[in-house]
Amino acid sequence: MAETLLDIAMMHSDALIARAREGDKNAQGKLVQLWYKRIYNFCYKFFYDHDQAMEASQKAFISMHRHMASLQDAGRFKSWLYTIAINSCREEARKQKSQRLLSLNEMQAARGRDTGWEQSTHRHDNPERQLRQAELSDLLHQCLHELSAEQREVVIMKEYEGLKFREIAEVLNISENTAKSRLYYGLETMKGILERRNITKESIGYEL
Amino acid sequence: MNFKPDEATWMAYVYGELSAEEHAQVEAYLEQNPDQRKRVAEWQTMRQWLRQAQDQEVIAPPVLVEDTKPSFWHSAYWRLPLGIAAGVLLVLVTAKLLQVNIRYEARALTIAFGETKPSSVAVPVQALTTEQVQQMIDRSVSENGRQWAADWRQQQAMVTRAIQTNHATNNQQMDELVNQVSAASQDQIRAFVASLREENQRAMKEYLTLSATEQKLYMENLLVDFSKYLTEQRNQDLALFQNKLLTMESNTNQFKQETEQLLTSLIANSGTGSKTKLTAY
Repeated sequence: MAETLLDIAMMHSDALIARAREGDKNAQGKLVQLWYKRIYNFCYKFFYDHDQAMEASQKAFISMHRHMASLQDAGRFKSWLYTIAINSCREEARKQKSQRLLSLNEMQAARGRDTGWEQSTHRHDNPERQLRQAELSDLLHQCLHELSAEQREVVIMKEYEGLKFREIAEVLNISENTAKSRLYYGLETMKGILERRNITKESIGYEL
Repeated sequence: MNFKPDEATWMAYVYGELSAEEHAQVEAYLEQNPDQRKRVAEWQTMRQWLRQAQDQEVIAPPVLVEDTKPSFWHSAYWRLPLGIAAGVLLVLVTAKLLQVNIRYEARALTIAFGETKPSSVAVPVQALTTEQVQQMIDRSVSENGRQWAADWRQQQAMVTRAIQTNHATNNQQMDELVNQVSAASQDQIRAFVASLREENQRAMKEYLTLSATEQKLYMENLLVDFSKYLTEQRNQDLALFQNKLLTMESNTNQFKQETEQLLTSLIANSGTGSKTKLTAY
């Protein structure tokens, strides 16, 4: 994980967590400010949809406020928060599934076809490196979303949120070995998805 | 060696979460099976790909803190007694307004609103001798009734007063409580702002000291480097001078030698010349 100021602040928030646990509203507010970007991005990768991600992350933080007092160990805050976030995401997904006529997978497939990589080979000539980077980022978000929820959760938590396998196991309430094996199959599936979409270093023309 | 990493071990290896011992085992396995290195490389590439999915920028919305505690007036503790008090008050007020008059008179219970009419219940008239007794009884009964009504009114007033005072004290307590709460929240805000300011100040100070020490260190290094450079330059210059001087010296020496040789040869020549001359003449 990149060492930004925000990350450093997140690493050293024990005092803040302790105060928040005692019901200090200011401390709770600060915690939200600190963690919002991470949790939002976690949800965004889970849904690949801004609105749903906003909904889920806000619900997660409301839940955090409500249950702050039940947090036993400040050192476990991170995995505790991600547990809340994943529950919030799952609940939101359930709600959406029952509300929408189209299933998410179908919608996703449709979206994938629209921005098919094959038709956009002209991207090679695009001089705007940043734009290309943003497009690549978006493309990878799409690929991530094609993973099954089980695998996606683990991949996001490991690769983007930097949780240890121990923490992932704690969040998902599974064994460490199961978490590792899910990640293994997640990466394998991801490889298949990239191949199917013909995403290689050559086709992207982008040095990693 | 029959150690063969399973999926979980591979993942822990790729993400660097193996113990030193296990790590060494996997390394040894890779030494023996170089073809497996390709798999590891593939995972590393996949991780690089995944890292291309960047974070979305987002601004945290304002904190929504809802108060989960029910308000003071809605708490179950207060609802019942307040209800009863309100009921009693209502009954008393209605009684007062309607001027309810309840009396037991002449063996008849009379509940009347407003003025009481004389009871129309016929009192059986007895013989003349009992009439006087009857009148006495009537008088005493009406006297009693009046007294009872007076008592009733007095008691009613007392109860009303008690309820009013009770209500007033309750209100006052409530006001105090509300004031206290609002003052506390103001204090909290002030404390929050103060702590914020303090933290900012501290952070700035730390940052400044840190940058100042860094700058100092940098300047020191710069000066040291510069002085080193100067010394080096001077040494080189000196060496150059020395070299030049040495060359000049050797040149001079050579020149001297050559001149000497030239002179000796000239002298020798002139000697022989004169000799030849001498012989020629």
